[in-house]
Amino acid sequence: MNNNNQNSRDEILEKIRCVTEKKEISKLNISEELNQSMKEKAKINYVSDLKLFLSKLKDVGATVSIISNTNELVKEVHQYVAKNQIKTTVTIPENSTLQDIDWNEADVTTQYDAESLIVSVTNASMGIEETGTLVLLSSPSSPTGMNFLPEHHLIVLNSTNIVKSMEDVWKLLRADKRELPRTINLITGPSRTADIEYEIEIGAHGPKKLHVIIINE
Amino acid sequence: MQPLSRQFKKNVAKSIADKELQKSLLTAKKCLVHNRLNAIKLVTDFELLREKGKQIKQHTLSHLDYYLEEFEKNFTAQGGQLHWAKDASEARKIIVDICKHHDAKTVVKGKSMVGEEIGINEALEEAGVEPIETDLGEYIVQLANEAPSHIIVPCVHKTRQQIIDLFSKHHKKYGCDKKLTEVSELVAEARKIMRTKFLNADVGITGANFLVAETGSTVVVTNEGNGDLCSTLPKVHIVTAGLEKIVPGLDDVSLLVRLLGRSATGQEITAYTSFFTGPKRDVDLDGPEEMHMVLIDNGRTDLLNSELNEMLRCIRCGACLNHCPVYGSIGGHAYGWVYPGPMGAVLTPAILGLEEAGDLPNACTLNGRCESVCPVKIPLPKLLRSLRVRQFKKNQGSKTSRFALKIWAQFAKHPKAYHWASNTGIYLLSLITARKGSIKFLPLARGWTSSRNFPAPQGKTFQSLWLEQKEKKCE
Ligand code: SF4
Repeated sequence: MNNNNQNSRDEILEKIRCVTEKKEISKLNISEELNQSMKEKAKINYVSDLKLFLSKLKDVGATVSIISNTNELVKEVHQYVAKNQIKTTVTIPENSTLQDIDWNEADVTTQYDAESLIVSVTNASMGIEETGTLVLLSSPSSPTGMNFLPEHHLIVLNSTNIVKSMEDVWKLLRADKRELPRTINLITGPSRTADIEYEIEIGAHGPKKLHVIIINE
Repeated sequence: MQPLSRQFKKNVAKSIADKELQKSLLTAKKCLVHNRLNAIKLVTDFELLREKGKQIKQHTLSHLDYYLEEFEKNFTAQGGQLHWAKDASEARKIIVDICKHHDAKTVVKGKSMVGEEIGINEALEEAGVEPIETDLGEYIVQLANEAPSHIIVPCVHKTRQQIIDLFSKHHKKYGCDKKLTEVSELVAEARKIMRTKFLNADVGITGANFLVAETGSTVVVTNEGNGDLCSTLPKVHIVTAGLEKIVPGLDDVSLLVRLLGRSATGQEITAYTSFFTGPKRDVDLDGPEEMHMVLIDNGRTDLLNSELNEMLRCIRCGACLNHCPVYGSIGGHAYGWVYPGPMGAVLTPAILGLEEAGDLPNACTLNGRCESVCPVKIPLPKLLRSLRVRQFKKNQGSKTSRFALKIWAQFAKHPKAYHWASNTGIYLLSLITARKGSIKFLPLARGWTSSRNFPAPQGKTFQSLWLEQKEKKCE
């Protein structure tokens, strides 16, 4: 279906060029300008003090717990499930580091089923201090649906991966040289709506609860 | 949507008489203005942020062809299919064809103003495809068979009771017959019903807040998470976007997101800011198999080529609506088309033509609040004034106002006559002035005096006072 409206494309660009060409700016200049910002070598600002990040998470309605190593994760998830009286299976993504954990007797599955997903535990790649945001990149070990379908979304984040601002995330991704994933989700608190009489209601179409588990080794 | 902007005056009368609407507008205004103020207080230099936002958008517009081609290159390299649409009808056809090609029965939609602009729902329905609005506010106006009345809060004109009634009427068929009272119950019921629709839809259509030339990504900003379900669950994801949505790079998105959330809802950032780049990768477990982008012109290149081109910086935050005294008293529907408030008063005549929307540029007191809150510093009053000039030159506008303007012009050209006329005017007004310096009834201005008093002139004109002062000094 590509290019089946080549004519419209050319016509639109032609009309735009009537305006832009007048300014006599060579393409080269602009691309240099663009590349400048892309290559910006400035170092990535990691955050070592969790204080601001934690208070931002609280502001946006997320709950947090801090553990000191991966071994404590099982207990933490257990506690969350018990506290919230959840009776269904917890889903973790296939192929992820979460799968390598010994979940003992816990009711955990790697079978991601869109229709019955109630609780998911997934990994965040990064955290953003400025806004209390979690960065999740889609991949075979991180399907996007697991971030939006469940009622309870538990996100595991390593404290060494918290950066100052969104710009640091882009720097990291560029440094990585990999292709961008299909989806980058910046998640800030549980889903919400204020469409009815401005009453903020938590839990619209996405998760009603966002629980962040920070591994601070 | 069939534009009703021609009958603006009639629409206004209806809105002002609507008590429920007036109530909703009042709460809305209070909440939104207050939230924005609180959010910008937290930024050290919000003015600097606005200036940068303006520069990013203006820079992109002056190299629009370059960035569009850059976007095209990167988007298609990621496996996306790009379609250019000159106008609304071309855009509708492209979308309907994609849906037919996939034999789609239902389409789930994220909130999109450009979708409203091109009238995609009507076109889909005609083609036998059911469009389902998934943003709660859009869903409510769809149930009510109305148009959104605000670009951020589509059902701002609806009270809770009206929504309760709508749900009980339309949700019976899903077996929901519990009487609802709380907002939380309404939201929960909508979530449940919508979930099945998400899981069964064949196509998802979303708008775009930004298109990133650097990476070919589409950025969608939401709070409910509906946009993400629309773009993740169905096999096909179609994005509709006006071509002014383009920005150079990811860093520009970061800056504009800081402005957008604060200006729109008073949030530092909305719950979800998502970047979609091409369809799902082969190894991914979910995501659409096809990603289409419909890049829509529909009058934008003409706008770029005109004295109104700054309007293309608009990031659709709604702040100008929330701060506009006219919007605050008449609401969105009175504007008669998709875009209301100050931004709508510029965009509607620019897209549909002055014949269709001639009254809108006049529905403004030129108080300047919109410009002072606009995150990308669009000089809305200036743009409205130039539309008025266009209108006058084209011999449009009401006969009375044209006549009055001509008379005024005659006096303005002759200072002596002007002086004499204003003094006489003041004298005549003093004859009908009631006590406390206000006039209860004014011939030729009954529209004004029927709802409030006209302030009576206080003493002499500035010119006369000036002369007196001068004489005193000389003495
Ligand atoms: S004109 Fe400015 S304030 Fe109004 S919606 Fe557009 S960006 Fe927001």
